[in-house]
Amino acid sequence: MRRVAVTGMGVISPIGNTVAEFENSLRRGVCGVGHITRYDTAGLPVKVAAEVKGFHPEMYMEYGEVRRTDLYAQYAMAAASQAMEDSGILGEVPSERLGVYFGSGIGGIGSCLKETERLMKQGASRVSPYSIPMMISNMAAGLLAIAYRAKGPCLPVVTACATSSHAIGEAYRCIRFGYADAVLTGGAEAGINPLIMAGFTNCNALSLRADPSESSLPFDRRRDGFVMGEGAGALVLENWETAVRRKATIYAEMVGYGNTCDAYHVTLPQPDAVSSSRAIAQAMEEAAAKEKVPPEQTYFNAHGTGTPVNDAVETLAIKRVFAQNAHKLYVSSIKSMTGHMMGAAGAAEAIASILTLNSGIVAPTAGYREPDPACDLNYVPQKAVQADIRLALSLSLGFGGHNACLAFHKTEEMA
Amino acid sequence: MVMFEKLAAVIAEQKGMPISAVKEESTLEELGVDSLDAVDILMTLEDVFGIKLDMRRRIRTVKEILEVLTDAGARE
Repeated sequence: MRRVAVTGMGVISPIGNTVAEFENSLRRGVCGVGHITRYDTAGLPVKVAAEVKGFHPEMYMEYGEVRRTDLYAQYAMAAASQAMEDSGILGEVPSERLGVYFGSGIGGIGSCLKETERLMKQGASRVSPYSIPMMISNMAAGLLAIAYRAKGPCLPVVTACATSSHAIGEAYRCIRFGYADAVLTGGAEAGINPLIMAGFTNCNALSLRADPSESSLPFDRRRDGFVMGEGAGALVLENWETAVRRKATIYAEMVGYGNTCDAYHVTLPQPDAVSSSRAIAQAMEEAAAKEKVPPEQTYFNAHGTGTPVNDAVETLAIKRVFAQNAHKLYVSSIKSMTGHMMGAAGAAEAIASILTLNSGIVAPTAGYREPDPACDLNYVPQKAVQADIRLALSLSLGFGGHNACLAFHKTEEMA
Repeated sequence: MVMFEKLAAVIAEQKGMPISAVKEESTLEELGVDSLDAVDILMTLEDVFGIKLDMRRRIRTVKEILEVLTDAGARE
């Protein structure tokens, strides 16, 4: 089986619209949560979200294309174009050997809402001919394939909040088993609208706290739900040999992937964490073939949503795998800064993990102050720390019981 | 000519191009207008001229859109 290199990264997020800005915010513990600006929240219980700021799709797409794409696909195009440029892969592998594994949890829901309104107010004859390509959640992958003439395997993944972790994991296997030489992968989401927010509010998943800096509180005793985020994360994964041959910058080696399902409940995680811990164990086992990294040198990028149930069950999942060593890990949730980017979360968190492998700086769980007895690991509170990290694991858990864990190893050989 | 100018303005606005780039003899392909854009243009024209247009008619040029408008009884 072939080795897999990470050679490109791109991000649009509530804490920065480039990888450099994103990294700078992670290191400083900048919180991207603010009062909702996209719609009027008067009379509504949820007042805060982590919105992307200062995004200009025309920087990445033609005007005509912007008009006929949903915001989620625009975020995808933007993050992907950064990652592709960063990797320099275009033209280096044949079109037929370039793949796209790119997902979205919800897809073009903003467009769906707008067209529903037109249907109701103006009738069926006024529903836009673009409505279907704008709302379907595979279209980001389709658009990316068109943009880069990627004619290899194309797989848009949909596993709710675990979407982009599964996309990256499947892309890794695609290269590992030789189906492609490079894959553009990740996920995008744009769900900050009254419908999605009401839906998540009414299943008691969102934080009702009004102070933006005190609302996304993963692992903290005061946590009362997650804060909606949005954006996109993109990675270029590449056959190791190809990357070395063309002297590409290799940010990390991807060394493991676990994929399991709770098969338990539509929204609640399985309380005993049997399946989520098995996803971690699978990724660890695969990673161990490269090197058995001690827990003191392992960073665990947690799903850490800030819902009371997720963080406790996730802590249990980590303990099931690492037992007495769980306390030696560096565990943090960047959702304390980015909010929950849903289908884009796994990709943004994979990038954060890879940045940590390169810099030795572990992003904090910003805002964490009050310990919860059910969450008793080292969550790197408030401030980033320096550590000699060699292995980074990133866990994502989605509605539907979807569990994905990714493993990245520090690059030692110079390409 | 007023009809053409109104049409050119709709196409220019949709594609983000100057109105002067739209000629009567332009093919839709030259203008980067695909089949979805064409329906979107016809829908907009229905509102502009307050008429019903044949959405299924195949159109390849700006001139053919003018014909669709004329056939539907659009007035300048």
